[in-house]
Amino acid sequence: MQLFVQRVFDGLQAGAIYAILALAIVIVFRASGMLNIAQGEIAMFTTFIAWNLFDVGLPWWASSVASLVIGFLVGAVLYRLLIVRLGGGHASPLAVVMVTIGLFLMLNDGAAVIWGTTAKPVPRIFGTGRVEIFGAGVAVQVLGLLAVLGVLVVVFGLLFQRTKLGLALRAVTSNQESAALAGIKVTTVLMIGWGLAGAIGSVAGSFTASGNFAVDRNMMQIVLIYAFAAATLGGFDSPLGAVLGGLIIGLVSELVVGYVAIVGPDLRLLPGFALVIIVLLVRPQGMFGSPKVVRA
Amino acid sequence: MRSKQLRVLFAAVAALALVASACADDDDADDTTTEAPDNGEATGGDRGNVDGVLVLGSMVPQTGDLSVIVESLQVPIDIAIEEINEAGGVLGEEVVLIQGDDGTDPSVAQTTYDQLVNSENVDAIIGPAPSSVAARVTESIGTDQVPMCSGSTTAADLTDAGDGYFFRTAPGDSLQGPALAELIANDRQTSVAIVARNDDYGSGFADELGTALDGSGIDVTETVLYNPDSGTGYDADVQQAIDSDPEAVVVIGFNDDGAQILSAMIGAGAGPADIPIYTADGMQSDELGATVDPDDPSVVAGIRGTAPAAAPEGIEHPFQGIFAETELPTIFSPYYYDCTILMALAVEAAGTDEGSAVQAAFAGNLEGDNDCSSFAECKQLLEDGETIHYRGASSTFDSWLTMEPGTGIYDTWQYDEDGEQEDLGNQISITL
Repeated sequence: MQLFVQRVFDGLQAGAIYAILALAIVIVFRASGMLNIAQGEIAMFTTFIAWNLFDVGLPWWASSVASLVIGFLVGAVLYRLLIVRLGGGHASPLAVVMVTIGLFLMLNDGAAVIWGTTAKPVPRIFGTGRVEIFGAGVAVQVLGLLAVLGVLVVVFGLLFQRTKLGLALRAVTSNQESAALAGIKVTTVLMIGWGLAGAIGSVAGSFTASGNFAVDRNMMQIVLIYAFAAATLGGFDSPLGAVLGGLIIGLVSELVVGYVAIVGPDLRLLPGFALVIIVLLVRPQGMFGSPKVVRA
Repeated sequence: MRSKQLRVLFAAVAALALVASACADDDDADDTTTEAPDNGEATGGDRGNVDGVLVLGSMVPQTGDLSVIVESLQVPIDIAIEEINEAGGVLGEEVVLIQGDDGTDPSVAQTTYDQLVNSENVDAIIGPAPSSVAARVTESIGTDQVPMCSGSTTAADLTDAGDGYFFRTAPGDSLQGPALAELIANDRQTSVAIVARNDDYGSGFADELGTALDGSGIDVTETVLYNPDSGTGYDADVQQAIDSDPEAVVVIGFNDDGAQILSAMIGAGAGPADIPIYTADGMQSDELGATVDPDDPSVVAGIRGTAPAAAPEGIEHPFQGIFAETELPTIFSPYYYDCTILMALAVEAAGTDEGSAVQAAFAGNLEGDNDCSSFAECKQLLEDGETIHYRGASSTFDSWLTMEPGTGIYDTWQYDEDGEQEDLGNQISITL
């Protein structure tokens, strides 16, 4: 029982990080209809900036909070300076995807130039304490991470459903031309969408670094792959789907590797991605994605 | 609208495929080779690198789980190159070094490798540090004909990797496994659980250690292989090991992931203060304690381990004094120094920087008639037409098995009450 509880929390810990990054990916996809391949690297970049704050004496948790603002700015600026000039995701999706690949490489190498190539040590955001749950000692760090994920879900749920900004974001997602005709400043709204994704991504970055005990310019790459899987599983246009997708992939990976001897640690990528394929066969739009209606 | 979304999805898949191939590209290195032999001495193995100037690439862990020890690996290479160039260089030309990052990760290392081999046209590579990386890049070095020498990859299954192009000066874990088993047996433990990183280093070490422990009559209660991926938790892996009720736990990992395992063990009430913990070279670092707990590095006090000896008994070499002045920890340092000197000597002996000739000449310098221990001395003997036996800073290389040493001498060490490394004084020597 104790071991099972530990595995569940280990799975949720990884899953929550995938979920947060997937949430960022989905928000960009919803707002601008494009996939940001560089989302993980943006998160890495803002986490390095947070490390600078930590290095000059700010506590790590406070630096992580500050990185939310930094992430917002980085996301918004990238959109305003780069993506807008390409006409956004709807006009030329291939060009935009290529640009985000370029961004991926640029941010990765840029981090090496700015911060050097060695990893920077950081502590846990919520310290090293533990709480006993069903006989298992669960790290406060993990509970904190899950709480942060919960807060993000609620805040973004409210933002999308209950605010004018959320309405504008949804309007732009649904039809940019009509939204513009209705007086919505599409570019500004999309810039905010990118900014929000950058801010959320920075949370994933802070927690990944904190879990690894180090900020490292390659730390988000495997997380990005899982986050894409999470978004695919949940549905690319569903924030809730992204979150559940992330948690499910984290849990399934941990439990199957732990309990199915034939899979074992060598095939750790298999269970999560097998699940994605199965779900896509049954529901091509993902668990919570909106189906495409086709006129016969 | 619908067709646009389809295009987005198509673009996404194409992009993912691109990223994936950038991350895992290892078999097209030979498509991009250039020809242009430029000075008549080129042979079939010329990638555009054969120009009589020895250009060495280094692959060291500037990022990733091993990044805390990067200076201990890079500085010895720099020291060796300085010594070589002071002695007139190789083939009459100064040696050039191009630094690269192995990332403690095969995907990162592959990009570095492609750049070193195809863009920078290096003649040979010193590194990489982790065994998992070596396992990946050694798939290419035979085809590309790039001699490689690593001073720290110890995984047993790397013996004879790389089609004869992969050399290492650090003894393999088929030797360190028995050494660590001997340390554990000397401490009179009767049962241990092994928690190891699931890669070539960790699982290979766990195998060798398990066999050696069996041979010493010590019971292995459980072997847990954990995945060192970014973002994963290790509480369950640790729990599984503790549930098997061992007298002691062996942790085989690197600094950052090892620190996470130790943190999980402390959280589960099975930290260094509660149960004897053993480890090996991968978690030997002055930073380990501070990584586990920045406020109290002494949490690692009492952990004991083995590591290929920094200064094997009976070896006196000027490198040790020079390196001591840097005040860096001597983790694999003499092994990297020896790799660099040996590679330069191989080029000197081959008379060309062409890969296959260098590879063929490498081992000969460890089996000749005349002992020498500095580059200048060895080079002079080679120029006089003599055969040499290089006696290095890491080993006298009395036993050399074509690609790697046949003897391993190991330091035994522990973290003292301040969390700093302390030598236990007795070295363990293992010969296959």
